[in-house]
Amino acid sequence: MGLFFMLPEIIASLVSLASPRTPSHLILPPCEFPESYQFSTVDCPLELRNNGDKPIHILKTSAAVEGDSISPASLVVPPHGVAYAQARLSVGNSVGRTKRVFHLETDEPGQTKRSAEAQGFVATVLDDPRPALQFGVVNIGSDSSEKSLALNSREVGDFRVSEVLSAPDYINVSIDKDGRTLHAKVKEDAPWGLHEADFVKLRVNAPQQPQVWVAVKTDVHGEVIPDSNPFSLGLMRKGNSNEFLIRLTSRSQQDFHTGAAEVERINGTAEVLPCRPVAKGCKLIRLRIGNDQPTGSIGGVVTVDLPDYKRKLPIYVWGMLVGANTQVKDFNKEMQRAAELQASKGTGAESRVALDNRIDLTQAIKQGVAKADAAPPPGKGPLLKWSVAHEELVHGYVIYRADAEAGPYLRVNKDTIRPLPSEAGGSYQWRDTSAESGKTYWYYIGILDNTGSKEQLSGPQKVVAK
Amino acid sequence: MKMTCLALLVAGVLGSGAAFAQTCGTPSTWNPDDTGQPTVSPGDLCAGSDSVALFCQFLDSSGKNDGIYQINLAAGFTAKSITVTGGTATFNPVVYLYTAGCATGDGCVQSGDSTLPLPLTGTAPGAYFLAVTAASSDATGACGTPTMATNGTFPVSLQNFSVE
Repeated sequence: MGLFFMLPEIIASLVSLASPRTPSHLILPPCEFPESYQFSTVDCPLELRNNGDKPIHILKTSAAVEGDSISPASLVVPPHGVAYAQARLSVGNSVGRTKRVFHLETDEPGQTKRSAEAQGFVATVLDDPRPALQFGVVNIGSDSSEKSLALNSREVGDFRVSEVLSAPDYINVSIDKDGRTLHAKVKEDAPWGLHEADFVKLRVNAPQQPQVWVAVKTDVHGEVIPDSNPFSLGLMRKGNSNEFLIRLTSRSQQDFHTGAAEVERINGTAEVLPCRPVAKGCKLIRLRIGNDQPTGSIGGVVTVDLPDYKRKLPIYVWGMLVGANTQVKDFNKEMQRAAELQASKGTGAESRVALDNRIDLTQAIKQGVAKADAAPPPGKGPLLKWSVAHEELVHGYVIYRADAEAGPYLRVNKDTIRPLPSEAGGSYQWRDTSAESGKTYWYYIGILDNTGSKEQLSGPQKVVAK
Repeated sequence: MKMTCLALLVAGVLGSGAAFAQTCGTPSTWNPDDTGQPTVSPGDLCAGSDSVALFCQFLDSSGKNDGIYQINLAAGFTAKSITVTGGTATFNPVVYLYTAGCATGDGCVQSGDSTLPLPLTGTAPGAYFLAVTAASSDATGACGTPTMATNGTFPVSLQNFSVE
């Protein structure tokens, strides 16, 4: 590696050492927005705290994600005071714990670019939070490319799709007469290449959520295919000659012509070469990644023109570009090294046992306290009680009810029951005040985890409402 | 060395899907278990370097030091999440897991912080990049000593359930 390429990093390091950063007086605690369903708009007041003696001018505000907004466009945070900016989020198709970033340009020396965060939980009426039509690899002309997907909801009685709002133009979509099963087929003239970010957009009859989006994922193989898509560039270093060869092959082993190869969304160049050794129906794309782009995760697309087929073939590429001297460690080896160190000190098993004991003890004490202290929720109706351990990944609990053991079950608690703030678990009570006296019901408890996934926590239990 | 890597890359990257091929060096096959031990720390980031300017196109990380790892999730891995701790009043550590989503537009990075572990459920086995740095809401120059642990998260378990 040449010293020429290392100079900018060396200079940056020297500058950094020579001029330590001025600490910021602007504190930006994350704003927590209330639990919302998909495709809703939520407001979140962003708190801007100034613990310094001078006012801080926010010269410009902007949202990082298209569709979100922030107001006002500029503001002043008084010394030892607080100011607020209103963030408005279009949560769209996000699901589970969701974080959005808002950029703030300030006049604080050395701290001109800051970001504020709004975060919260986005729920969906669907049982499957990320429904997808997974076609996998579709070989045009030889594979069956039909898929069906049932959309189920335990949040909406008689859940139905009312309309297909839009769909990628390379698939045919229809709704079954049951109103909730999608049938889809990849068309014979579908664009070749990887399709990962397309959706079938549906209008549904859920009062909480007007739309449901179903992802469409397929890798359409036409006559010419790349050796992988997406193509991984792996780890790249600035200053290196980051070159990659992507092989294109003909499925029928016929020679083919190529036109221009273009690179989009990353700085780089691409050209088509014959394979070495020359092989029938084989070409190589030589991709050169430029050094003139920000370090970090980079992703783009190389598109090659195939005039014989009047097609363009997009190949997605991604990788990590770091500085010439950036140390990149192997996480797995670091883990192994730490484990060996722990074993040599003889602390592993003991500390693990200690951890288990701590959790059990905490759990036992906390459950006892909760049971002793908690009064049942007021009112009439079946009272559900449950205790749970290890709730770290749980966003909340949902109660499902049916008239018969076999169902159908529907959610009955409008608001998600949030876990108690604790280390290990908690005890809960919830009363179904909507139950009719004398009627038989079946209940079970479901979990909503932080990713939005739903799981059944308990088996159903029967009760006759008093 | 570079040519060797390129040759391996051309010959070896087959159907890698969401993961990238390990081209230089042997991939380790460590498989996280359910104990949460041991932990991994990049050390004091204040003494480290700022190697990543942008996370996922819009998360500006310039001016914040970071630790970069390659991580291999072996087939059948059992870890549910990666937790990160070590926050202070001025440093809130964040961990990012990079996938091919940045290229295809299918999402971008999974992230986690000291209040919410980075979820691994649904992540396909493969080799990825992991970065630990200061939260986007932290001040420029914010740093500290974060510690990461895979799993350490026991599955949620029902202790009892009754209806009366």
